[in-house]
Amino acid sequence: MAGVWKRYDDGRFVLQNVDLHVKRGEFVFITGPSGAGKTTLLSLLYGAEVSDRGQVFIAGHNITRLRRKELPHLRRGIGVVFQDFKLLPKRTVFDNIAFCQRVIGVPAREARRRVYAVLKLVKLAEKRDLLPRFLSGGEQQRVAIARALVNRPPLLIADEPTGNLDPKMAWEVMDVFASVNRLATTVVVATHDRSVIEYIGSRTLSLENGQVVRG
Amino acid sequence: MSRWFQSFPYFFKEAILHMRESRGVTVLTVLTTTIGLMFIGALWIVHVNVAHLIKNWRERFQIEVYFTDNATPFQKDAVREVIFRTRAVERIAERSATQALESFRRQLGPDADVLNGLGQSILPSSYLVVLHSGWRTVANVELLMNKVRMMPGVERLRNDLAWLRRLASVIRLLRLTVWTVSILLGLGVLFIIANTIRMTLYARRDDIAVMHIVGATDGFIRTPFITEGMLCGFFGGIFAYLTLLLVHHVFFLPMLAIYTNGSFLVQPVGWFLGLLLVGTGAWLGLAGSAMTVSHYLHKQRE
Repeated sequence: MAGVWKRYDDGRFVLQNVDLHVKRGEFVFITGPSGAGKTTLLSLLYGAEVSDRGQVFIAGHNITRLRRKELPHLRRGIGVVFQDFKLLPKRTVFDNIAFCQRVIGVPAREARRRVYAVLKLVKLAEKRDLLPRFLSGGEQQRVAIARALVNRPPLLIADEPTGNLDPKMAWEVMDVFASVNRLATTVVVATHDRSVIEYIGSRTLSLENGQVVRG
Repeated sequence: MSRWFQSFPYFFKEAILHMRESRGVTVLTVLTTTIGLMFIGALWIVHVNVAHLIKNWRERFQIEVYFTDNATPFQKDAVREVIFRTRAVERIAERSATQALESFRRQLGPDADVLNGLGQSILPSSYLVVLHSGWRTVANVELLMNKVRMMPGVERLRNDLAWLRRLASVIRLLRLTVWTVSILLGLGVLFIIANTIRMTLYARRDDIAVMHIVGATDGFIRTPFITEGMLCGFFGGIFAYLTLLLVHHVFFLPMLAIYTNGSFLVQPVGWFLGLLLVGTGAWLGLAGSAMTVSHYLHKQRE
């Protein structure tokens, strides 16, 4: 990400001349107070927002110049985890994850195999037939992580993934991120939870008023 | 494209799932579509039958060319030649003065005595010109009459041109009415289906957001909703056809037999009408849903 500026409709700058370089396989935290621009920065990474100025590169591809119809293909290489999980309430744990496989046209048998594998990774294989409302917050977040990982993305982005979790659950979730990172997946996590950052102890980039103040 | 075909069972399943989840709205949509398409079908039946009736009347249409008393065989042959040069003419029947009188006598029946003593050539000889069925138009009749009217030996021409003109206007008016009402009803069906799909999209907005995040293409997101719209129109078409078939056979035909004593034949409600209604329904569903989903996805991008 080089010289990125982003302004919202009210004219306020959310990001100002942000430079960020994340190496392949790295684990990076983006921290800062609420409104610092963490979520916007992540949105630029997976193409939900477009920068007003500057360039964003993912694995060598300039996504600011990406055409609309190329965006889905970029997103298949990026797993995204949200604070509010964004699970589909009427689908089981299994279907929530398998759904992502269907979307990209993975054959049913292969999809089933991948979903079981990823459910084992997040230790939820035995809860595959439950609806999300029967799971704890930590379990729901692990389902969201499983969904983000099932397409085997080289990049995992998480926006305040522990925001709705108690410390024990938060650390469980961070353990999953750490183990994914050990499998060579690049992980970028936005959080303002210092305990989580200290728990993992990775490189941290601080944002304040849309500017990088440390990193 | 092959991936699209592979995914089709999924699209179909999703469409059925949407329809089952919003059962009430779906039933209402199919019902309204059925009523709209039923009216379109009924108008089509009326149009076909009136057109058929008019075609039958036109079959009887002919032009009569009356000759003067002193018209020579040469002049008559010249007229025949001019008439036959017109592609619209199917045949010419010649009627001599004696044949004309005989025909008139038959028409008068018991009163034919009034013609006694008037001689054999009180009525003029004539040609009865019959046009090809596809050429019985006002323009062709006028063309032929203009060619013959001023020829030597021709006294006058008689035809049903005014009647033909009226028929042509009736057909035009009928066709215009059928199309106008059908288009209005079709638009109504289109907007009803579009509105149903809009509600489904609203109910499914979280699914759509997740689909975008995990890399679904717009086409993949769009197709189940378009399938749903098509299915609503398709079922509406089937129900409309079945209802018309039922009304036609159970009520209309028996009533017609009673009141017209079987003298009035109605064109049957055939498979073509079924295809027309089901096809129109499915197409309207497709158009309505495609319009709504495209608009929704476009809004999402902004």
